[in-house]
Parts: sequence; C-alpha cells; structure tokens
Amino acid sequence: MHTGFLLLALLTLASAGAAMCLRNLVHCALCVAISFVSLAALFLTLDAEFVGFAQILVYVGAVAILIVIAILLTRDISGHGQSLVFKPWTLGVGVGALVAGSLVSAVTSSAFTHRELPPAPAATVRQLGESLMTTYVVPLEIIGLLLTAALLGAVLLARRENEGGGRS
Amino acid sequence: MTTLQSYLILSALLFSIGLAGALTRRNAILVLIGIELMLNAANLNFIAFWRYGPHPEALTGVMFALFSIGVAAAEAAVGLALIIAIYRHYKTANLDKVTTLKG
Amino acid sequence: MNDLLVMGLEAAVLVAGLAVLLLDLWTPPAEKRNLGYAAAIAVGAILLASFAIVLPRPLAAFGGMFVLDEFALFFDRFFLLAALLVLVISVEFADRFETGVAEFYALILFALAGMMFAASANDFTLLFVSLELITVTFYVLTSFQRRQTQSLEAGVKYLILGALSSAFLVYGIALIYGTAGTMSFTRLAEAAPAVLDSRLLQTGLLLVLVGLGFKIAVVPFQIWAPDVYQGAPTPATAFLAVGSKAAGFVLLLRVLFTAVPALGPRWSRLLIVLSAVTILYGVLCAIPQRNLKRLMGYSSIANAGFLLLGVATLSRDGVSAVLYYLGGYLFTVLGAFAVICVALRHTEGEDIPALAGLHQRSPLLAATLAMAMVSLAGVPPLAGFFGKFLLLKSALMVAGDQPALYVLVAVAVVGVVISLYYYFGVIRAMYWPAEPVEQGHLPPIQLSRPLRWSLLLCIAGMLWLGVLPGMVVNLANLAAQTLLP
Repeated sequence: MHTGFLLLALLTLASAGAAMCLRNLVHCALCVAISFVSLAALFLTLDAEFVGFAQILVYVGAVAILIVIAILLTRDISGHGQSLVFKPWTLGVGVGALVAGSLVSAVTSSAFTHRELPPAPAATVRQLGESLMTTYVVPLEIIGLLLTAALLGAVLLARRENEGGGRS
Repeated sequence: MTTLQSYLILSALLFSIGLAGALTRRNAILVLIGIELMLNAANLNFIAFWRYGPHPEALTGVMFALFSIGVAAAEAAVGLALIIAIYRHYKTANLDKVTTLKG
Repeated sequence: MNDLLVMGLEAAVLVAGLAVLLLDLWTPPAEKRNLGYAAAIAVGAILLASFAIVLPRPLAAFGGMFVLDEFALFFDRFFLLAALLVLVISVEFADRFETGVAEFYALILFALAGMMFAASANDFTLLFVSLELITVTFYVLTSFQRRQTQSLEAGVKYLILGALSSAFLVYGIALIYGTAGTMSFTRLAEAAPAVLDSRLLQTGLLLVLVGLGFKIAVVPFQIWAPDVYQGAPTPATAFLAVGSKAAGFVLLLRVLFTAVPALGPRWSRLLIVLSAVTILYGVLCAIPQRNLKRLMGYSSIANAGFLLLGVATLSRDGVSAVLYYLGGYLFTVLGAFAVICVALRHTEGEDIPALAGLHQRSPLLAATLAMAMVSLAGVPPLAGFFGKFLLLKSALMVAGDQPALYVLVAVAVVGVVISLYYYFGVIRAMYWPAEPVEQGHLPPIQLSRPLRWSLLLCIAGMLWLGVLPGMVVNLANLAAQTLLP
C-alpha cells in the first residue's frame, strides 16, 4: 500500500513537473495526461471509484484531448520565454516555493492530519446519484447551466470568421 | 499505512508546481495546464479529507470534487477556444505578444 | 416542491435565458436585436414579482444550502435591476456584434442567475458553482467582440487570472472542509471556533479571500481590472463593474459574518490594510488615465476599497452602509456606462478629450455623465455622497475599539479629495474643452426611447438615493440585520 502510494505520488509529481518545464508543447500535454491518470489511480486507492473514473473521462478524455487540439491548431510548439504575470521566471518559481513551504508547514503543524485510514465507507454510485438529485440538485443544475454557457461561448469564440454573417 | 498527511503534502506540492508553471510560462496553453494541475491538487485534497474524515457517508467531499471536475472542463473549453481565437489574430499563443492594452 | 418555490426568482431568470436562446431560432436576423428588449421586460417583470415576496422569517431549502432571507432578497433585486439596465445598454451595442446577439443576451441572463444564486448561497458548494457560473459567462462576454484584438486580449487576461483565482478558491475550500468537516455556513459557524487556531483552516480562509478578492478587484488582485474594463464590450464592462463586484461582496459578507463570525476580529487589521491600499492605488493610478473606460476601471478599484472599509468595521451599520453604497453605485456606474456606450461610438477614440461638446450633441447624455461623475466623486447631494457619508460614519462609530480605523478614514478622505481631480476632468472635457469645438460641427446624437428612459432612471436613482435616502436605508438595515442580528 505504502510503496504503491509512493510510486504514484512520485509519478504524479514528476510528470506534473515535466509538463511545466519541458520546451515542446506536445511533450507537455503528454506529461500532464500521465499526471491526470496517476491522480485517478490515487483516487482509486482512496476508494473514490466514481471520481477516479470521472477524472479519467473528463481530464484525460476531454481536457487533455482539447489541449492537444489547441496545440495543433495554434501550431505553436515552442513554449519558452516570458510570462504574463511575472517577467523574470525566478519570481514565479519563488512564489511557488513559498506557497509550497507554507502549505506543507500548515499541513504538518495540524495534528489531525496524522489520522490513519478508517475502514472503507460504502459509497455506492446509487448513493451518489441520490444525493446529486436531492441535496445537491441546485449545484448540479448550475453546473449544467455553466456547461451550456461554456459550450455557447466556445462555439462563438472559435468559429471561423468568414462564417460570421450567416448561421449554418 | 499511508496517513492523511502524505496525501495532503502530495497535493500541496502538486498545487505549487502548477502555480509556479502558471506564473512562469509564457504560452497561454501551458498556463492553462498549470491551472488544471492546481485544480487537480484541490480535488485530491477533497477526496483525501472525505476518505479520512469523520463523516464519509455525507459524500460532501466527493460531490465537490465532481463539481470541480465539471467546472474545470468548462473553463478549459472556453479557455482553449479563446486561445484559438487569439491565435487567429496574433498568430501566436504567447502572452507577452498580446499587449495592446496599456496605460 | 416547496424547495423549488423558494428559488422561484432564480428559476424564472433561467427560464427567461433559455427562452431567449429558443426564440432566437425563429427570429429574423433584423429583429434579433430586439430580443434584448424582450429579455429586459422579462427581467423587469421578475423584479416587480420580487417585491411581492414577504418573508416573515428566512427560508432555507435543499438541506440549508440555499437560503432566502432579506439579505438575499436585497441583492436579488439589486442584480435584477442591474441586469435590466445592462440589457438596454446591450441593445444599443448589439449592432457591433456580427453574430451571436441573442447569445449575448442569454449569457447576461445566465450570469444574472449565477449572481442571484450567489446571493442565496449558504454553503461552499453553492458559493463555488455560482461564482464559477458568473466567471465563466464573463470570460465569454468579455471576449465577445472576437474581431477586436482588444476584446480578445481582455478576455484572455480575465480568463487566466480568473482561472488562477478559482484554483486558489477551490484549494481554500478544500482546506476549510478538511479542518471543519463541513461546507455548510451554518454548521461551519458552530464548528469553526473550536478549530480557528488551526493554521490549515486559516490558510484555507485566506485562499478563499484571494478568490473573492479577485472578483471584487482588491489590491493585490486588481491587475486584471483596467485592461479588462478597457477591452471588453461596454455592456459587459458595465455588468462586470456592478454585478460581478457586488456578487463578490455578497459572498464575502456571508463568509465573514455567517460562516466564520469568530474570524472577523482576527482579520480586521488585514481588511483595514487592504481597504486603505486599494483606495490609494485606485485613485492614484486613475490620475494619468486618458481612456474613459480604463479610468472607470481604476475608479472601480477605488470603490472596492471604499466598500471594503464598510466590511472592515465588522458592524451592522458598516454592512448596511455597504449595501446602501452598492445601491448608489449601481445607478451611477450604469448611467456612466450607458453614456460611454452611446457617446463613444460617435466620437473618435475612447479618450476623454473626445467627449468635447457632448452637451451640444445630446444634453441628456452629458447631464447623465456629469451627474455620474459628481456622484462618484462623492459630492452632495447625489447618491455617492450619502453612501460615502454612511461608510465613514459607520467606521467612526466603532473606531474607538479599533484605532486603525481612524487612519483608514483619513486615507479614504484623502482618496475622495484626489478623485475630485479626475472626475471633474471628465466634466470639464465635456463642457469646457481645452480646444473649443465649432458650433454645428458635431451632429446631434439620437437616443432610442428605452435608452432615454434608462438614463432618466439612473439620474432619478442618483437623486433619490442622495436626497431621500430613507427607504433604501431601511431596506439595507433590514438586510444587514439578517446577517448580524
């Protein structure tokens, strides 16, 4: 169990780090997909099967594919240079390290985080579905609306300009 | 056995990697990838807190993770569509070239 | 079934939004613009219906996740009125979109629904999804003029910084959930005092503040505001300035006073510092601006600082003053953006000197913009003056317990004095330009009837809240009371 966690954790961090450091955008997309998959595996070790599969379906199946398509369409493979927020890259890495340090120290200072794994809860898909349709029905509806808005927006924004006049 | 702490530290590191990437990379697609990693780190927190928490039957953490996955997908869709539209105009997805608004 | 009735207003807005999308299919292209008026009428009807709601006690639905109390109702009406005016401005702007006019209206209604859900959110799940609904729709609204590089640039900046702040927000919520074991504000209020010393909880709350601070445009999360205000289509900017900012404040107030009331005293220093820095940044950066929309961006940052002053008092009077100030801000800013939308298409460029001679071309436009500037500057007798007066008064009333508030009040007064300079610069450019324009050189500007009524409504609102504040003060007090009994 523990070695399994260590391996998955290392794989997640290494592929995430590679995705953020590599020069070739296609390699970055591949690495981030690996990171998404190993996170899904971590969700499985935490007995959250449904979220694990949703993670694979949405992140690997949709987001990673979208990223690859965007890379192909923008034909902009090289990803080095300056950034929007911080001009020198050292500052960005510094902020990242600072956040990492403060988060990790906050985690280690909290006693309750030493908790051992309790027995597995019986969270069936049926229970998930029931609470999605009762307590969580409002957020679910809002997510539906949000996806509609995003779909509308994505179509409007990415449509070719010469189709501008008419509606196909 | 793995403790809750190991999951939380993993998630904190993943969050920071994503943040550092989003702050330093110039290509808009990479910035979005960094932000997706940060959201993933948060999801790992939700699942870990839910699994180790006192009331796993309430499903709160799992629900939030599902909603967060949905939101991330929507954000990615709009974001990448916008990047494609930007590319049509500037012939680049690099953010330091996209600077007409100043003052 | 009863639960659904509690969210009737939101449901009605949703139905209206989807109806606009459906009607678009059968509307001939020449008539599509007018769908905006249909949407505005629907929003107006929902606004009127909201005054029929009588709440003897707060209603909760969906396991306490969604609440309908006086506070939520105040903001529901606020958002509905804002959306009504924004829709009228959008119709004026519609001919500049080649496609997707109906979608623009529908997205405004979707964002409106998100804001109304945010007003009723009593749980971090609902807070998150409603905030994301607002944010994602605004990504699209901001970049809607996709042939204009400015609009696209505004969109990508808003998207990247917005997504970054959402990531902080989600991570913060995760930490709060982990330490307190709940996401419901009501249960968090019971659980929080025991774990308030946990650094994990404090980090979580701080990250949530980052996420909300971005919406409100508080320093240091304001960097997007000037660029986005300048580049976005004017109706989108107007809605961003009023609706999105107010939604951020609704959630901030709920989190601070309902979810973790014990946190307030610990954060009062932080809030005071943020407020002072935001006011100073906004007014100082606004001075050299020439672009009118960009000026409004900096002005909105300064106003976020003033509003935060009311929050930092942590008193019922402070919250009530925030609500009142937002009410005046609605009429003032939407009036200004309505003028900007119409006037700037008849001028060359968006720079302030281009407004020269506006009072000859359209006295109503010039008068509205002048009054909006006077109100923003906080000069009596308009809404902005009374709002600032209430904010400062509420701060002075509790300053005995928190002496740092005296400093903040002094900073705010200095900010008001500096802001006089650039607000009156706009008025001078209209009435007494540096280079006088020749008579008859400029054709008069025709105004459509709905726009004329909207401008008159904004003027009336500014005067009403400035001269006869009683009714809105009562409403604001009532709303603040549900938050801080």
